Amino acid sequence: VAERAGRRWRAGAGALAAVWLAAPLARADNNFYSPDGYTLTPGTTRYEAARQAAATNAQIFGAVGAYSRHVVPLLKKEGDGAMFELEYHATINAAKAPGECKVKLGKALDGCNLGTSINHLDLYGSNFAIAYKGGPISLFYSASLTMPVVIGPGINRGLFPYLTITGPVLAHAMVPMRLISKDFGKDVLPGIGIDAIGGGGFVSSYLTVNGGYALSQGLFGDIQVPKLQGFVTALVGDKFRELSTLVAGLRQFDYFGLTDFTDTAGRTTLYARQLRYIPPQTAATPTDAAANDQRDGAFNFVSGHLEQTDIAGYLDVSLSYLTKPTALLHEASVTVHTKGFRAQEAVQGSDPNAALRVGLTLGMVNLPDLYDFGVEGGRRFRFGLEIADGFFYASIRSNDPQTLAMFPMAYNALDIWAGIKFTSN
Amino acid sequence: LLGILAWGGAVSCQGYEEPDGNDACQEAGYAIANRTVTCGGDRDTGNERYRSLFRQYTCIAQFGVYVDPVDSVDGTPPAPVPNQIPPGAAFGCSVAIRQISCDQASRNGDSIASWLGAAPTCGQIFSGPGLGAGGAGGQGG
Repeated sequence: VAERAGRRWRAGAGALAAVWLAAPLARADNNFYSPDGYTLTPGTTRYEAARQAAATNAQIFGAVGAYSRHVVPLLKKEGDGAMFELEYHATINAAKAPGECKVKLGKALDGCNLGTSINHLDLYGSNFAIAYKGGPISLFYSASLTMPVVIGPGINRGLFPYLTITGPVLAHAMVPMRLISKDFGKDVLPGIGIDAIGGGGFVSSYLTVNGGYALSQGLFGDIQVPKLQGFVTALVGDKFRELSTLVAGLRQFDYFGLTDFTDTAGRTTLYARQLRYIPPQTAATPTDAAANDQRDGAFNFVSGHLEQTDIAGYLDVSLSYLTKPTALLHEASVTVHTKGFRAQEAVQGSDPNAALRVGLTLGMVNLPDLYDFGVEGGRRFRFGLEIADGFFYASIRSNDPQTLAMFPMAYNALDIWAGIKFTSN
Repeated sequence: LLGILAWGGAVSCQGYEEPDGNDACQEAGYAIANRTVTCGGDRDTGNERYRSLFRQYTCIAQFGVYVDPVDSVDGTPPAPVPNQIPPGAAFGCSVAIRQISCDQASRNGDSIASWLGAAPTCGQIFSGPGLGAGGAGGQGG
């Protein structure tokens, strides 16, 4: 098995190296990678929205995102422990914009009869994280690689998951170079993001205070109050301007241990979230007067969320209401799953003999018109399938409200997750 | 199994759309909404100007057929069709709108004709008040 795995890694590294070497011939522009050199049309609103989506991908599915999804849960647990995770994520159709398509061998490809097509942007990301908690001290480290890819006529989307899944190994190796040059790697693979985050903090059963430094973003802080199961998370730093978030509320509240009650009624997650949206800006170039003549136009995207999970062990219900920029019912969905799915989710990776978990979600998401981002609002059908077994977990979700909140320029986005996680305490 | 399903879904899902004239017009509307907001206007005003554009003006953009250079060498280029513009040029209207100064954006205000004056291409993709053939009513910035 080890030999087979070794061969897979070598094949993956070889394929990546081949793309790496061929990439200069096939680059699209400095913001996106495309194997056939397809471009998006600079200066259009949707081009700038796509550029913003690529930057958001680097933040959410890079090292900082890994910290929030995997390190924080470990820090909230009682007792000493350690965690290792390796995670892969893709957002298909994160954005779309007019662009150029090409002819091959003198023939226009299907879909490229006009020399122009509306090209889609897919975002890939992979990360790993390790964390340790012993006594009152916590330590953590995470590295990641993210890549935005322009898809157009004739491009096989199946290639990129394989290439980008090698990301964590590659990113880890490149962190020292990233320290020397902020744009390391971008000459070869445009848009590539290499990031790392490290830090530590103080842990107690009443209060955990953690801080760290992310190469891409700078300093950040995180305060948790485990006893109250409350959470307030704020991401700060100059470059978090595009994705400043503030979340406050109750997470998986167990009614102070009333197990008879929670076995029937489930646990409650209730929170308010404020996202700071900045409409796509005109790109700054030395000759671009408009880029120097604009305000950020930032506005708040504020929503309230109620989630009742593991109702009778088998059912989750999720509702959210948007208050800004437009008041509307934002999301309503139902998940049917194997018994105790969410409760087991909290201990994912710690029990190799845990039962297979499967969940199916159906619902709808309603979005406001965001013409300044290049998208129209309206209702979208939501679908999700999650599976977890032992250390492994994976999911596929269309129009996931969390994704659409992070990528307001997306239309019918499809999320693919896969990962392994080991936790000990 | 899930991985295979996900992979298959991603591969089979088409990653592009063939544009039509309406894409160029919509993009111009997005540019008006976007420049309204990034020049300090509020979002409701930006959205309303987008809607006004399509209430007051008709999208007439028709894309010309792409002339393959190789075919041209062979002497078989498709004959150009009057009133059709290359798609690349059609998106020039939206690019020009996003390049206007904030002073100009402020002067344009709710006058959609003025916004469409950012470039002659805008007059080729819309018809309506203040737009002549091949030109537009307002001033660019």
